[in-house]
Amino acid sequence: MKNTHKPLIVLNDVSYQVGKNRILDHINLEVMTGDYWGFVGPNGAGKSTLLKIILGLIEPSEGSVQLDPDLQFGYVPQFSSFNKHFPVTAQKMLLLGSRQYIEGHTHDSKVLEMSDRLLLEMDLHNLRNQPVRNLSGGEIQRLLVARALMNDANCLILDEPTSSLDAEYRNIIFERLHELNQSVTLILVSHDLTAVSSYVKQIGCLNKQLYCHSEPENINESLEKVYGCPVDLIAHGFPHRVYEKH
Amino acid sequence: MLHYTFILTAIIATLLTGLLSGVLGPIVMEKRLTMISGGMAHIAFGGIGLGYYLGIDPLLSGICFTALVSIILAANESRLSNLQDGYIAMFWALGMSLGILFISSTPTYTPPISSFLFGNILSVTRAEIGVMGILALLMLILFLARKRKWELFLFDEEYYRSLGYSTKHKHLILYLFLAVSIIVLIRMVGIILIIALFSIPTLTAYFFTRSFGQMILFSILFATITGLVGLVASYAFSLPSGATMVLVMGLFHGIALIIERIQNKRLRQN
Repeated sequence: MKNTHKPLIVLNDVSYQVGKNRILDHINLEVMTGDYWGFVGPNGAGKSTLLKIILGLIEPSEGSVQLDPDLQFGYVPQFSSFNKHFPVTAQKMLLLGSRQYIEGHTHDSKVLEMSDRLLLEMDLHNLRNQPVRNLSGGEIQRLLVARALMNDANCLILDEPTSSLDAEYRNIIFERLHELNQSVTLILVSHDLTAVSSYVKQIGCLNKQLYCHSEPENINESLEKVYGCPVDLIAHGFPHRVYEKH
Repeated sequence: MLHYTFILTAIIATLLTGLLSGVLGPIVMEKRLTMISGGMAHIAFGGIGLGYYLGIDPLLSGICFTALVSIILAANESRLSNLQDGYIAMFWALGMSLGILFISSTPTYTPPISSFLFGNILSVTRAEIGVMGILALLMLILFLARKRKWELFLFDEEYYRSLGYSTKHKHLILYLFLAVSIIVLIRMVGIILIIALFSIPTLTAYFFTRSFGQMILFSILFATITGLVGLVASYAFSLPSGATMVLVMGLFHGIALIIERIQNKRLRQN
């Protein structure tokens, strides 16, 4: 999808703090329709908090968030955020992700059909009747992505969507997201810098403050600023300190 | 034994207890509210004591007192979450202390404290049966009418909120139901053993279920069967009813655990 220069999400001078601990500091951001944002940064940088503020799950301490009235979010929460022991099968988890199914507005067979299609797409159809508690981390993560697609969202918010996936499934997810970006605006948070830098259109380097929001090609300098040390993006596939004799 | 009215009342009370604890137990377990429900039972004792002291119906004062604390807890749910453990312990001890002080200061006759601590299903009144019946009916209507919403709320609260649903009312409803149910269930097994009703049947049901609906159904079934077996055993062997019911629940859980292990072993071998 081409960037249409229609702001979908605008963050005006947003800050968030818990007690005296400043988590986000004066963030200004404009997400346009068709954008594909990847936010990177060290642990505790406020990446997940930023997503939750955009979603309206957390109220900012200062500043404001403006959302386009037609905005429909699809949300992939962090792997650790939900109750993994809850008795629910893989397919039921997708059904419960659908607003129409929850409200009972549409005939269940339509939602069921959609969940079947997404299960097939994520290579999970043979596991549809398995309780979620019996699935592996990677399988659950693919389910979380599939669930976010149950509501015809025009903006997907993804919090570490590939943290438990091996290289093969990570690429499947990123390829699928790339396709989705034809019609859906994407905002994701990830530690997977290599994957992020190869797929996203805009990178935000976050460490309480938003240091940069440039195209991925110009990112190295900003990453060093965020991580507080030189960062090698390519050689090992993850950011790390680079010493003289490396 | 069915010729005695009090036995019939006890059987109806046991069935309603199975229904209440069977529906609430899975919710309490999934929301990790087991210890809070234990805390509420002790808070309730403060309210019951206040009723005796003021000469008003202890059931009513207990419900009002516990409901008030529940509203405070629900309103501050997110703020207290990190300190919840400590606050539960605090309310636990404060409720108990208030109850003991009120009852010991009451000039008129009060039942022995042990009857609150350990319960006695044979002393349940018709009024209490009525409250239990209405409560069980209300709870079934409420949960069944919005079953899918409750399921998602219990499974993934953050995702539930991301769909634009508020969780404030859900927490309040849950805490209030818990509070009122605890007051009426104190008569069955007593303050000390009440958390068994919310945990053992649900844990037993957990072995055999793949969906939340199944878990509630099995939980009701286990709570009712073990309650009835416990009631008959306590009558037959002249044992305290609450303690006997809880021990039967534990025994059933042990048997279920063995069955589940054998099933799993067979599945792995195949």
